[in-house]
Amino acid sequence: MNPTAFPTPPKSWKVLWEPSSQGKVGFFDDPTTAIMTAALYLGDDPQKPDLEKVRKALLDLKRNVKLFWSSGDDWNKAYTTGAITMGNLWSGLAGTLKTNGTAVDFIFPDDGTVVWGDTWAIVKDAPNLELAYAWINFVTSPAYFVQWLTNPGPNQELAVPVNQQAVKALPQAASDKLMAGRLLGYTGKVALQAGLSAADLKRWTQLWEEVKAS
Amino acid sequence: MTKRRLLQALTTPILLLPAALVVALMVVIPLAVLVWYSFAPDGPGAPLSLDSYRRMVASPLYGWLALKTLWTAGIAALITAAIAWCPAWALSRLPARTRNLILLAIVIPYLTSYLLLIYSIYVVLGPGSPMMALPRLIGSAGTGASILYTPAATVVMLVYENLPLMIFVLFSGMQRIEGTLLAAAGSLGAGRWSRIRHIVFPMSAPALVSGLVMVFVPMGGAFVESQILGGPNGLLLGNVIADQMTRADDPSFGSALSLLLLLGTLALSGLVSLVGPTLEWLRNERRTRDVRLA
Repeated sequence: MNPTAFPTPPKSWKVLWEPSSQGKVGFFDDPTTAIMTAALYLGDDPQKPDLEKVRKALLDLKRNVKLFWSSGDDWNKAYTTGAITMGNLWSGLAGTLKTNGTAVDFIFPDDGTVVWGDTWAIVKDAPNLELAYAWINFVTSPAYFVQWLTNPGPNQELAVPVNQQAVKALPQAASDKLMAGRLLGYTGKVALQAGLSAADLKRWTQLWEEVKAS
Repeated sequence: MTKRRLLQALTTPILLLPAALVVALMVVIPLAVLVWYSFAPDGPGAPLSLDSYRRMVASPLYGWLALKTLWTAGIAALITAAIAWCPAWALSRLPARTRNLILLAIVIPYLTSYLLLIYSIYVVLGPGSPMMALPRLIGSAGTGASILYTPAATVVMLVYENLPLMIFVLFSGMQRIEGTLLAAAGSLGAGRWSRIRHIVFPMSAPALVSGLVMVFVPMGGAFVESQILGGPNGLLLGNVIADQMTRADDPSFGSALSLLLLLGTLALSGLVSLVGPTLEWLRNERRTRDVRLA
């Protein structure tokens, strides 16, 4: 969120639903994130939420939404021109914005946060298995993250390391950039996007489309 | 002699072959795949079923979105024609050299990636932009107001994208109207307005109809414009189709929706194309009746 609009950062997703937030919210156009976020707001189980309650909550939220963003660029344009002042956003993107000098504050709400994890995988029967392990050990190591997050390339989308040792090893400036330090003591619910069954994906997508279309 | 006749008989099919192949590869086969997918909700190998269509009619959402999409595209096409008409007419009256220079300038946005055009219109429509200065001046908009993130922004973008095409189509139709015809009408006492109404407009009407159809069809399938500029209430059927094809991983439902859009677009285009002949027929009827009465 924009620190000028929020001198004291909010603590809960509720802020996006407040009547005073009308026309100021940018919300990620993604069925899984949307439904899980609404479930966290409702205090429901984000993995198996009551879809009818979620639908109602999302329809309420829609009244406040200015933009359903689908790319980092959508968010950046709306945020930097002041069209939106708050919303849900990838932490890495917020870090990039902050690094580039935009005033932006990022919180992990007390009522929980939706998490996406990128993973490394090794192809079955890979010919150089040891090399693959060595590579993965390297790119998840504290040393790698310290190097990358201290000196990222231009406009790189940063990511919080899953390796807690790597998070602890980050220099303060790099950690601040990612708001990663806050995750170490985080007590909120973590809603991991673990993959949905085809039937659920269909149901969730349809619900999200109905919310957007109504 | 027979050889020659055989060759003659084969000339047309042989010459048509490349075009037929292209049409088959790029139109017939993809369309057939689309139809097939729409009846195969469980994947192309599984038994066929009507499930995707059942789902489509079960909720009023999709029919309503289709209407909204056709309405948006229709309005945008009409606005495009209204804006393009005067410049096209002016261009058709210019000497060749000046005209070609201007045509070149007009074609530049048409050759530019539409994503770049969307981002440039973003600046034009943003709060505090020149485009918003007029409504601000007459007091109908506040200082921070902008039509960005509203369905109106989608319409502006669709018009902007398709304007060059419309100008070209109208221009090529209007170019055929001889100046001498207008001069003759003038010498018989027809005023400027009357010449436009009785000569220019009817003679450029076929170009207008083809221009409308040509811009309406891509407008009906648009989804990037509404995604980036349309805001929370700007969803079009194209967005739902794109979602089904990508993250919902449901090409069957996406195909069924595509066919709904295709049929809607065809029906409306057909209706527009029928306007001219119908008017013509009515006029002839009236004329015959008048003659009979006389």
